[in-house]
Amino acid sequence: MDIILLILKIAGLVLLYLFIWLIVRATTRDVYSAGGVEAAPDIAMPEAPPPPVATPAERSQRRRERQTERTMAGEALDLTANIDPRLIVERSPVAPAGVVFPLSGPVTIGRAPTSDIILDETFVSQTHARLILRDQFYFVEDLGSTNGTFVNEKEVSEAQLKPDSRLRIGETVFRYEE
Amino acid sequence: MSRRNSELAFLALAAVISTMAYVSVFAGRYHEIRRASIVYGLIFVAVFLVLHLVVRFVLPQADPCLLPITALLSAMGLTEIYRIRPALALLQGQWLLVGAGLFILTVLIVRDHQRLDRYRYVIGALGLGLLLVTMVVGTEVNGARLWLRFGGFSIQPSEFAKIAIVIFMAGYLNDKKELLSMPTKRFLGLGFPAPKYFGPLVLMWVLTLVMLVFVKDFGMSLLFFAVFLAMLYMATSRIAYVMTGAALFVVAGAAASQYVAHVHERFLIWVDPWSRAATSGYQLLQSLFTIADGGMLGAGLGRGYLLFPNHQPIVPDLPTDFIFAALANELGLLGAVALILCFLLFCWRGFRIAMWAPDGFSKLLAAGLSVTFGLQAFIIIAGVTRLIPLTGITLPFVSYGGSSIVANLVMVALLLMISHRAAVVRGGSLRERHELAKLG
Repeated sequence: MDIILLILKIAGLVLLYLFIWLIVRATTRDVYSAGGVEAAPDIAMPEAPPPPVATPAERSQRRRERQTERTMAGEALDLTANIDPRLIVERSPVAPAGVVFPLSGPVTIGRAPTSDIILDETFVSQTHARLILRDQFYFVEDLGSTNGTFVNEKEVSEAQLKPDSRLRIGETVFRYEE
Repeated sequence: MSRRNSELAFLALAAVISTMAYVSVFAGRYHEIRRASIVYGLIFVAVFLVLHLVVRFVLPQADPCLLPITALLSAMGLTEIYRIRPALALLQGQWLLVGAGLFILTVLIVRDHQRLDRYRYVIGALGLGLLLVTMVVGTEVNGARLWLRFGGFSIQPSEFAKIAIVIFMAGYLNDKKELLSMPTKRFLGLGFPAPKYFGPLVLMWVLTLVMLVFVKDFGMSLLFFAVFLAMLYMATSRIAYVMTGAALFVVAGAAASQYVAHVHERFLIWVDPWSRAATSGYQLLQSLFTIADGGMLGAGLGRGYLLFPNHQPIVPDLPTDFIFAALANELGLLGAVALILCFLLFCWRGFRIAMWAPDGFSKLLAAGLSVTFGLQAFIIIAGVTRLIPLTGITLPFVSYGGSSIVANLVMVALLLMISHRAAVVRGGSLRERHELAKLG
């Protein structure tokens, strides 16, 4: 009888450790296989178009061409016709970098679904800021947001956007180009 | 091997181990192996087989290791309780059935844990309500008012409150984690997040702690405190908050151990149980002797010296707080370490589920539940072995305690749901994704 109980005791401990070893093995295998597989994102992000690249030389070239066209056509009244204002996402937790927002007329930015540019971030207010066109220049105007609007990392209530200005709202940074 | 088939294989192994344990106890008590002992083992196996089938049909992609670990731990607990006091084991077996029922209900009704996020304030209020009710109409046992009595049985609401509060915190922290990780106010050279967002959290925390300390549930208050800090750290990854919290704890603990008689006594027992061997230190000393008596391999289940000749356990609370001492005695150091490894494996699986989960709420919930489970085991095992001052709390699945086993089974159900969702989102079949989408 005693010998049976002794065998039972030893066998029990051996099986207990076998159980533990099997689970450890299963877990480490899972970890290794998980390392190879890149997790699929929750929602498929649309493939971002490559940001329009233009070196300063190309840009001045383009401007010169426009100028030539203008002089040749003999009309220079509509100043906005010749610029192509746009905001390009540089970095953002909610949008892929490189997304381009072409600007025309007044544009509102905020978390509200009615905004023209919707940024669903914690640090963005419902109606955070708006962009307004005065003559051919775009101005950004803060609409009393909680966490402020920044142009080139300076907090502004209203400021003109010049080409290559960095506009930061929440954690999203845009580059302004024309 | 598919996840469910490995789960079945692990369960089969757990069933063999538990049946051997039953047989050993029966033989130890009655000096012969009876057929009845096999039947007890089979009933236990049947319960977990049913749970396995429910998971197989409802959550086919769920983690395959949690259920077998749960089965093994509860089998060890049930066997040891049976060995100490057969009448209690019968009750514990009934509670296990209730827990299994609630497990199935949780799986079938909740289906997708993401729904809980929507009701986080209701669930948080429910958790606080449970604690409040105990404080007002609770029944006092051993100087602590933790139980609610209904007719013939009593429940310990703080065990359920702990799950509710982890769900609330996972939802709240996930929603506000960016805001909470930016300190905006400075006070005493430390950065604190905006009170608008930090306030509700602190309020919740203080309320639970005050209520738990008021009913003298020190084990639970320690658990809540630690879980809160752990979850705050996981959500914000700011170690400064943990440091501040730990410093607060040291100050409050030092003050309590000086001025609150009950806590002072616990502290003194921890520092020097030998000078109080005949009075308040008796339990802890008996527990230490019991563990030491087990040696390397233990006496074997059913054959350790755990009962006085008059059938009273040698440590008064042996089936509840001191169950680890009893198991260490009969399974020895090797068995006790295996038991601790099982708790570690459970937490490891839990954290892995959190790492795999695709969204913040699932991550925080899985990690929060795992932390709760691991810390609860740590607090009582460390208390029984005199690593930290002893605070009464159940050893999950092992200790005698109906509410504990029911609440912990619900916790396992939640972890399984999170792991199922994570696996489906990361590459389940079209039909599984569709089903999940319908639930949302």
